Amino acid sequence: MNIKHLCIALTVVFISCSDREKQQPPSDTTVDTMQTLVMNVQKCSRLYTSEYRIHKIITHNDQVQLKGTIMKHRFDIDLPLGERKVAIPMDAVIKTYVDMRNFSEENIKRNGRKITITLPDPRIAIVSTKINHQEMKQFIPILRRNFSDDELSNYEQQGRQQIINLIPQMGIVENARLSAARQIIPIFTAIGYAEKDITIRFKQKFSLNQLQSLIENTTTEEKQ
Amino acid sequence: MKKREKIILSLIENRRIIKWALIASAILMLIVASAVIFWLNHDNKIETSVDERINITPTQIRQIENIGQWEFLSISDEEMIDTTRRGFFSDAQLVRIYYGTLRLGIDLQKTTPHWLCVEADTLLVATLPPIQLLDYNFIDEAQTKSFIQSGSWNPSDLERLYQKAHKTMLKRCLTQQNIATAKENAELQFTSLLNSMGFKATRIEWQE
Repeated sequence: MNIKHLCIALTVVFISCSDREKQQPPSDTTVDTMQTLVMNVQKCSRLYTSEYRIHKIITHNDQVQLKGTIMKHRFDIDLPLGERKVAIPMDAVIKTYVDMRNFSEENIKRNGRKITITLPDPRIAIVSTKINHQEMKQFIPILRRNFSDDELSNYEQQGRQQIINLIPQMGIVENARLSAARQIIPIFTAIGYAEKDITIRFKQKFSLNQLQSLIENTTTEEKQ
Repeated sequence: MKKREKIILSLIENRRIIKWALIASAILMLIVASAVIFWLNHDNKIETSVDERINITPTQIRQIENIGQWEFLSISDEEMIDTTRRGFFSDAQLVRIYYGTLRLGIDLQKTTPHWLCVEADTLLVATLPPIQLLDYNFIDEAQTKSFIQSGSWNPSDLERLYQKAHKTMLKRCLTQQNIATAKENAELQFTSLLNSMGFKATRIEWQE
């Protein structure tokens, strides 16, 4: 009887062990995709022609308010907890470029000694932004908590967006065209064309709305 | 006598009706009043709020510079950087995600006087300056996302995290392989440009 019980117990243990082995995923299916998630390498051909160094002081002040609706009546009361204030100095570098990836023979027209080069429309990119943490000023009343890192990051992102919104009014595109011509003309004079015979053309003039579309806005949402 | 009794009985009967009518109207009024009170108060809400928008402030252009940089490889990177400060009661932790784009290419201002020359009337030779990182400051810090924060952190800590992210991105992206890829693409793009200028025979050389 005891031997019979022992046999049954061993069989049960053997089956359960063999099942567990089947359930375990093979170790070679685990792939570390971190590298591909964090890096995006792209071949390109962009001629950067001008660089703008922008400075902005982002400011924010907030008052805690009691807001609500009671019996269809809205109310909005400032609570006497004090007003928090923060000023964040930020520097940004903006560059203009022409995308030369699709530049071909079709962009060049020769007429005797004269040559006309049609360049792609200039584009604008925010190359970097830097927060001056040491110069940041904060005022926190006794009854309020400190600004969190999340809140400060949010204000910095809004400041960056304000810069992007102002780009069309900065006259960057016209200057980008002049700078592009300054870079392209020496290439053609080097191969024997006289400077007076070279004409640089761009495709079109832009309205304010079209200017906004020239800005390369790499937001984190786009990256995701 | 009987007539008098009848009148009294009818009065008692009417009083009962009046009583029930009064009760019914009271219930009705209660229902109407409840409905009105419910309608007035069903969307009541009270909350504390803080305006999250920043103020509109001037944006100042400090410097405009004409440059001539040709980018051949763009590497977008994101790095999660963290730091922990040991405390007596509890540890403070800060985790931030930084975004940056490293641009590899050539600086045309570093070209030699005859970097583009024609040899034997037909061969166009371009001597390019070495591939380099076009912007040393490549992190878009205003896009940084705060992931975890416990405890308070001072400006020096944030600057230290930025420098750590910068170093990590440089190490990950500025590799010999990426420089070689940029160089390869530069040769391809410049050959294509020179061909479109009318020279079928071209050669790309690199400065020492």
